[in-house]
Amino acid sequence: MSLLEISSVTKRFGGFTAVDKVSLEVNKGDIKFLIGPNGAGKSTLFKMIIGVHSLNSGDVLFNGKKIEKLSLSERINLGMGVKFQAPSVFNELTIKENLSLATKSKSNQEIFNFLKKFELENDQEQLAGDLSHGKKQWLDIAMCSISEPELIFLDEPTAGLSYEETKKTGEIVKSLNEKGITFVIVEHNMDILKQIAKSVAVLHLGKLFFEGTAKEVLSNNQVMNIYLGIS
Amino acid sequence: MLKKNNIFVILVFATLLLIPLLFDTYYVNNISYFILWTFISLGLALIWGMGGILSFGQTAFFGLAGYSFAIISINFADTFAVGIWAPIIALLITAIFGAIVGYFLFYGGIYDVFIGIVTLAITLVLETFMAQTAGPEWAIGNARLNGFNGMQGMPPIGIKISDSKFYLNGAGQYYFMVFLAMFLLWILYKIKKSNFGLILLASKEDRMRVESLGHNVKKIQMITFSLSALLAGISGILYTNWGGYITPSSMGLVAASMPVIWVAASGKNDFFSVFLGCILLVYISQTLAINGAQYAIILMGFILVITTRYFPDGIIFMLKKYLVNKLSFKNKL
Amino acid sequence: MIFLFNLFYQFGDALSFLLLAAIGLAVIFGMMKIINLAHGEFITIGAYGTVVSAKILNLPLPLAMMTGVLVTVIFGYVLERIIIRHLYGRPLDSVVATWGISLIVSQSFLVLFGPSFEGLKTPFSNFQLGEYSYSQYRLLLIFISILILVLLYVFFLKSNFGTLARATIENPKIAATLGVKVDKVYMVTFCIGSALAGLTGAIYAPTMTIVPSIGQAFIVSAFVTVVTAGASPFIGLIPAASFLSLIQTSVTFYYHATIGILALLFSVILIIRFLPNGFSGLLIKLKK
Repeated sequence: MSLLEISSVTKRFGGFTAVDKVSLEVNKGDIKFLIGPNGAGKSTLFKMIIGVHSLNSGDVLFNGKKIEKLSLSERINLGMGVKFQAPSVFNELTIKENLSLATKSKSNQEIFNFLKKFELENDQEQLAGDLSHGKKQWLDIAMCSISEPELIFLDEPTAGLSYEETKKTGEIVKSLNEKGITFVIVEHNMDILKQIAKSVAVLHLGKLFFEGTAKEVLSNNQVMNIYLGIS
Repeated sequence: MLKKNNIFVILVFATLLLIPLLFDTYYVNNISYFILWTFISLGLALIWGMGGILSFGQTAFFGLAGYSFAIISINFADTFAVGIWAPIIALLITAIFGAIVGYFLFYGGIYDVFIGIVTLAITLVLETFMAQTAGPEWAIGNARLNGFNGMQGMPPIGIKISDSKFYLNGAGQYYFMVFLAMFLLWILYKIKKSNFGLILLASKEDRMRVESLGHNVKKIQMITFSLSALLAGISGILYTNWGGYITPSSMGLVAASMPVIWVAASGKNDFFSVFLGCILLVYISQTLAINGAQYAIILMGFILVITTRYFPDGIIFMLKKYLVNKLSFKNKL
Repeated sequence: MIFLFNLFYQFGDALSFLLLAAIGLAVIFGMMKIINLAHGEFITIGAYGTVVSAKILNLPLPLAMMTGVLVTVIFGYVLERIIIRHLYGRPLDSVVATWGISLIVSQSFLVLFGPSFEGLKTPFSNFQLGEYSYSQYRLLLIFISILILVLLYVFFLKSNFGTLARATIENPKIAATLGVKVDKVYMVTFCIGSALAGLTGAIYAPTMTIVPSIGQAFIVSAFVTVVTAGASPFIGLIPAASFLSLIQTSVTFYYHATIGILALLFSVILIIRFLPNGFSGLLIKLKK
């Protein structure tokens, strides 16, 4: 049984079909990238899985259990973590406070050790709003992973990051994955895909276009054409 | 280690506790009047300052509690301890009604300015409804609602044991209010520092993100709203007891705006500033009303405009910060 | 037949009242998101401006009305420059500040003009139909209010400035990068809103008793109408006002005025709950 099973899900907005009968499986331990040109339906699919959008049809199963009727917070409590596209940390709160919202059960020492991975352990009393864009992204990832959920969704975690920061982000995800956390990542950045992706799903015009390993996807001409806008 | 801030708070409360020893009953009752309004303001500071939700409904709960107290205590006028359990039941009713309204608002997805409009509408509905209950057919049990003139003659808060009466008036009422305020302020600060408080504060900034961290934001906001209603109800019951009457105008458009004015001008993000500011502002309004009615209101208007423009954190809050700093300077000397 | 006319008149009268109460606020709150609790006072200024220039300057009514509007625009301009422009993007602060302004203005009028001022006669005259007499002026207002709404729709949705204003308000940063003088656009839009509120006061002045709180009668109606109109006020105002007047008129007809008000308030609560985008949202959805 796969950790997450998306079964023929569809989402329509008025007359426009954003996601069209997409089926996907995510196995435990995977780092699955979800790629596709703008407007392909990646973010919509993402929001459907976590519960921000309702489904017009289809099922979403987490650990074999149907979750379409559950609210966002209920799904999170089942063992999911989410990072939205724009870094959404609480600017008016300190880093420590941001993290204590994400977990109640960690001791100060455990939080300190966890933050080391993100280079944030010494800034705990600083306001999150004062962090650089890159550090905000990392804080955001820290917040959704500190409670060690089974499955983490990241929506464009490298948006606005430098080459070095992107590489570091890849390392962070990889080390969390080695601890047993499964990842589904929506991305445009091919560098991080090459760095850490185990499997890749390509969306195009709301449909699942292609699925395979990173190598298979990168050497697939059709996929590259979609990205270059030829097909 | 006493923090500078705490010294200021202690000084204020010490002053308040000394007042009945230094002044006569008339003066004490007057100050009691100012203090009774602090609870509704604290409730608003909770839901608005901490929760980021501007509600115009505080006076609806104020009136609901006052009327409930009046109706129950009039109907059971000679029952033992009615002066104790009638206010308690009235508060319970108010808290439940607050939870229902909160449920309707937050689980119904109503936010921002719409909450202001809906809560204002609810307040006006109550006012309009109560104002037209003048006829004798408008009565609950023995208690006539009396329309525009409101209700009077309800038994006071307190208890009569054989021949001894312990009613809430004079110095007793005053001390009750001061200690109640101290207790509630302590609870509010505890809430602010708790996990519940942190979730509420974060929701002010980004509701969706808080939900995406696994918290049930709607439930927490609903509970907070109910607590604010409860606090408003405390003011309502104390008001009814203080003056011996409750009228529909306590739920009118002007009345509904007063807590907003007090809280905004005092500094909605700090409970103690709101407590102190409310007392001072009600005192100022009263003094001006006696000495120059028309100009009183114009002055209140200017206070509001100047506060928003130059003291967005609240005049009292900034004054407190200034005084506290002055205190520590003196300590250094 | 007469009965139908009576119903039409009652409905139309309520409709024109809601529409005219709402027009200034539709611009200032509906478009600019300033929660203007001083809206009633703008109407008061328009009313007093009209009445004072008619009585003291002896201007004919149309000129007096224009003066009333002009005075309100000047007031709005000064207010915008001194206070309002610091409040854009701060809705909760605008509540407090505008309430303060409302207190200052209404009490100042009380001090300056006393508790009441000599009023004007309603223009035209009454006519009789069956048991009741009707005011020609108020009948005319029904058509005038709808006309004003249509003109506003055309201006804000079709004209160059209207489109510029809407775009700038929606995204001032991008507008600035395109060379738009954002400051000026906001100021002019606010003045237009003030003018409209002044117009409301001017139009109703001859039909009401002139007291400093004359504007208070409009403010709740104005807010509930603009809020239920939804995100696009100039599309949603007529449907919203029509729906609300329908409820109010029919309930008043069957019971009495107080219950009519209660029904109106309840409807507003339900509309906000079930139509989060108001009537304009509903219309846009239906159009698809």
